[in-house]
Formats: sequence, C-alpha cells, structure tokens
Amino acid sequence: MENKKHVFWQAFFVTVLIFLVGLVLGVYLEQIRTDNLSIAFYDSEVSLYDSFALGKLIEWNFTSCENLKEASINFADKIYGEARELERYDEKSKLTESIKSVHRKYDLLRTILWINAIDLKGKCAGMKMNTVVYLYVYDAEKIETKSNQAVWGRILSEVKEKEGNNVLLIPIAVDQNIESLDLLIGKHKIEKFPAVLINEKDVFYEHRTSDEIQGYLN
Amino acid sequence: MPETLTIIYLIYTFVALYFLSLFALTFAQNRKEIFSVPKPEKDYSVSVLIPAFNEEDSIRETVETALKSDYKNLLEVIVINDGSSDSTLKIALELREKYSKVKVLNKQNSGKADSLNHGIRYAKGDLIAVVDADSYPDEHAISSMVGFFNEEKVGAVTTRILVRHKDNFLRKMQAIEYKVIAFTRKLLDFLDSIYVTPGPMALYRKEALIKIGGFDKKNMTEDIEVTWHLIHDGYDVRMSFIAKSTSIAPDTLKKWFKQRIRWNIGGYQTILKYKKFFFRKGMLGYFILPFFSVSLVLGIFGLGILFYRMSRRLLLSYLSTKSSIASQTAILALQDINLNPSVLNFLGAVLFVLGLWFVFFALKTINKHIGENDNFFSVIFYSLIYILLRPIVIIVSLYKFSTGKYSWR
Repeated sequence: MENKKHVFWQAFFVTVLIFLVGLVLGVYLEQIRTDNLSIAFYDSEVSLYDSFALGKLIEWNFTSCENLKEASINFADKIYGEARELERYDEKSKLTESIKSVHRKYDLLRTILWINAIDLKGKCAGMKMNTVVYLYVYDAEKIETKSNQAVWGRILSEVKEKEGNNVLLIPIAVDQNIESLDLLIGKHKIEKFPAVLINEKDVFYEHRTSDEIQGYLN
Repeated sequence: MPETLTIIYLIYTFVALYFLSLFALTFAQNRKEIFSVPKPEKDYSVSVLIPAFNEEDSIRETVETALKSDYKNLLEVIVINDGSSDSTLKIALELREKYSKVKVLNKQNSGKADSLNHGIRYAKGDLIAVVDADSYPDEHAISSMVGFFNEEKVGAVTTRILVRHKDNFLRKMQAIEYKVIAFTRKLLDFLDSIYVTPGPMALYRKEALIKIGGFDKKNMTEDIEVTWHLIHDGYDVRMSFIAKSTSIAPDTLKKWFKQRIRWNIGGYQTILKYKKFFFRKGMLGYFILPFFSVSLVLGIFGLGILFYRMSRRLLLSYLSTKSSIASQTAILALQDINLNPSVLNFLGAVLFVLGLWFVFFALKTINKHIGENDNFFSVIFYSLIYILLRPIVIIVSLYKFSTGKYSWR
C-alpha cells in the first residue's frame, strides 16, 4: 500500500516538472518574440526622430516636401509591416503581457506619425499625399467586431497595394489609453470603432470596396 | 494574468498529464507482474450465472462456452430467463436436457440485477461467475481468476473483455477501445482502484455478494455499483490479465449510443450514491470517486473548449466571408494565416503525443499476448475521432439523467 501511495506523489511531481518546463519554455518563447519586436521598435523610433528632423529641415528649406513625404511613407510602411508581425505574436501570446505593452508603444508611435503627417500636409500645401487612418479595437471580444476588423484590414491592404506611395496607411488601436490619440479622435467626432478616416475629412464605419475608398483619395 | 480560457486549458492539460504520468509510472513499477496470476490454494466451487432477456441468438453458444471451462470444480451453469418473449427459455431448457450442469431459472422480467440476485439464492458455489448472455469467456478464464481469491480480502476478480466480431468499422473501433480499457484497468488493479467488474465476465466471492445484499436493482450499471459497494465494505477487486472474455459489441451507431448512455447514467447513479465518501473511505473516496468524476468533467470540458473555440472560429469565418464578398475583397488573405504556435499549442501537442503513445503501448502489450494486430490508421482514427464521441455521450446522458428520461431497455 505504501508503494502505491508513492506512485501518486511521483506522478504528481513528474507532471509538475513537465508542466513547469512547458511553462518556462512558453514564457521564454514569448519573451524572445517581445525582445525581437522591441529591437524593431527602437529601430522604428529612430526612423520617427529622423522624420521629425526632416520636418525641421523643411522649415529651413534644406530639403523638399517630396523627400519628407517619401521618408514618412517609408516609415509608415516599415511600422505597418512590424504591426502585422506584432499582431501575429500577440494572438499567440498566452502567458505574459509583454507583447501588449510593445503594442501600446507602437500605437503611440503611429499616433505621432499621424500628427506628423497632418503637420507635413500643412507645411507642404498642394503635395499629393493621402492619410488613411484605420482606428480599431485591440481587445475586441465581440465576434462581429473581430470579423468587421478582419475585413477592414483586407480592404485597406488592397488600397495600399493599389495606391502604393500615394497613401500613408496608419492603423491605430483606440483602446490603449493614449491621450493624444483620444484628443485627435474627439476632434474628428469619431464615436464608434472600427472606423476609417481619410485625409481627416471622411469617416467610414461600414465596409466599402477598395475602389470606393480610392474614390475619396486625392 | 492569462485569460480564463487559458487557465481552464492549463488545468485540463495538467490533470490529463497527471493521469498519463500515473499510468506510465504504475506500468514501469509493475511491468513484470502484468501477466502473473496466483496459483489457487483452495479448491473453490464455482457457479456460473447467465442472466438472459431475449437472447435466443447467443444463449446457446454462451452456455456451451461456459461449460468448456477447464476449471475442474465448476459446479453449475445457471441460466436465469428474465421473462424473455423470444425462444430463450426454450433453448435454455434444451441445454438443460443435454448438459447435466445446466440449470434454468424462469422468472418474470425484472431486470438484470434482480435476475442475478435471484440466481445467487440458488447458486451452490463458493464463487459466483457472472457472464452476460452474449459473452464468451475463454476456457482458461475461471482457472486464471480463482487464485486471486487466496487473499481473504478479495471480493471480486475481473478479466480482459474484448470484442468478438470485428466485422465492421464501429466494432473495430470498439475492439481498440476495449483493449485500451483492459490495459488501463490492469494498471488500476496495481493501485487497488478497479472501478468496475464488467458483465461479460466477473468472478465474485458469494459470501461477499450476500454480505453487501447482492446487486443494486435500481442501478443501470449494476457491475459498477457492485464493485464500489465491495470496495466500500473493505473488499479488494483484482484483475486477471491473462484470460479474456469476448463480447458482442453494438454494430450500429444507434445501438452503440444507447449502450453508452446506459453506462454513463449508471455511472452517475453510482457517483451520487457514494458521493458522501469523496476523500474518505480509502481508495474509493481518495481515488476511484475523484478519478471517475474527473474523467467525466475532463470529457465535458474538453468538448466544451473545443466546441467553443470551433464555433467562434466558424462564426468569425462566416461573418468575415460574408462581409468580404459584399465588400469585393479577398475572402482569405495571406496575412490571415498565422503559423506561430503558442505555448498552449505545444502543451496540447505533448498531451496528444503522450496519449497516442499510451494507446499504441496498450495495444502492443495486449496484441502481443493474443496474437492480434490493429490497423495503424484505425488506431489514429480512434485517437482523433472516435474518442471525441465520448464527451457527446457524457453530455447527452447527463441531460437524460438530470431530467429522468432513461430506462434500462
């Protein structure tokens, strides 16, 4: 009987061991993914400062609006790609919340990019550049919202693919407690999400075809 | 903090891994004794009881198989006709004319448990062998089981129950299942935790059966209840892994479903009857009750999680596809494909591989002994699909049990 009792404890310890190894490996895997994204984030941060610097240079007539537009679009494309990767990891992040904080930093970075783009359009009047800001919910629980967002993601990717450098596509999660973003959203009177804001003028809540969206671009 | 579903999944994985580890360690520590049986020290007399209700197709062969037993002190084979409306009684009477050891008891229909209790009153043997009327114990079955009664504490002995005719796919699935169950039951034997002495072949100490008042007439699975009752009253239950009894398994999904519903409802009845012994009363309260209950809960939760995730995913795909068509955009984009595994995927994979290993190992152990083989793809189908039917049965039977919509036949 004693021997039989031992096996229950032995099995418990073996299970705890397997489980702990699994959890430690899981946390480690999630940490590696966060570290990779953090490195990309710092790189993107440098690109943002660079576009700020270019903004200053244009005031001193050291560079052209076209150069600044190109830098902003390149930067937007870069962080758009990183955002995609972030979302893939985020979906699979089950044990830690480190990816969530990286996501918030990226949303702030994209908000700054949006502000910078508004600023750029003011400085370079007549420059052909469209901002398409996609405001979505990060912690969407409702299936309708999730599917709505998935479809918007595809439509806007198509628009970007067709328009290329003519469009600055900026997806930003709205539920990340970013005050500057909340102010911008309030200024444009956007009340429900997901929403797509084109050139700070036209707001769409319901899906449109990519051709229809293109019709609103300059 | 991980979300609720992740926590439930982790608990589920932990419990399932625990049982797999327990079985693996139990096997490792007792592997040399798996096929060993004690030599009988006493010449016990044995009465075979065969309760029969409308069993005209199988009763003759069952009785003749029982008579072929190589156990020398087989006193009698008693057929208890439970008010059959077919020619079961006629065949039984013919067999009585032909074989001197055959006795026939005829009574009005009152169920299997009551028929067995009726038979016990007439049986003269020290040990009572219960054999279902559609089951066929091999000739060494009784002689390989009797030795376990050397220990006074042993109240019942069971053996391997295997499927008789593997002539269709459903029966092939059940054949694999019965083998895995038999292997698991032998491992439970080493833990003093056998929780059922199945109807197709079980040997009981008559004195123990009388002491506990026989089989419970109200229970749908009198073979589970009697086992728990014996353990509750301080008896041990053992298993002979070298003998076997074959049984005719359901050949259609409908019959299969009906049988499983009955088994599960009987299980719930037994849990309710003994619920006050949770974490009391030795192995019954500390292992059998929790193990039995947890395996039901695991089945329900497993299906629940799977159903919840699949239905959400399907609904999401449906809504996205519908909106994508309306918006003239791609139904599926490359960016939607996410091949990054999460830690839960890894744990799930580990659990599945270990579970599959257990099934293959159990089959290898039994097949080596009986000289059979199971098709690789059948085993994979069993592990991936057939096993998913269990939670459905658990849920339906739980519903029937809670609403009282069930009957034996």
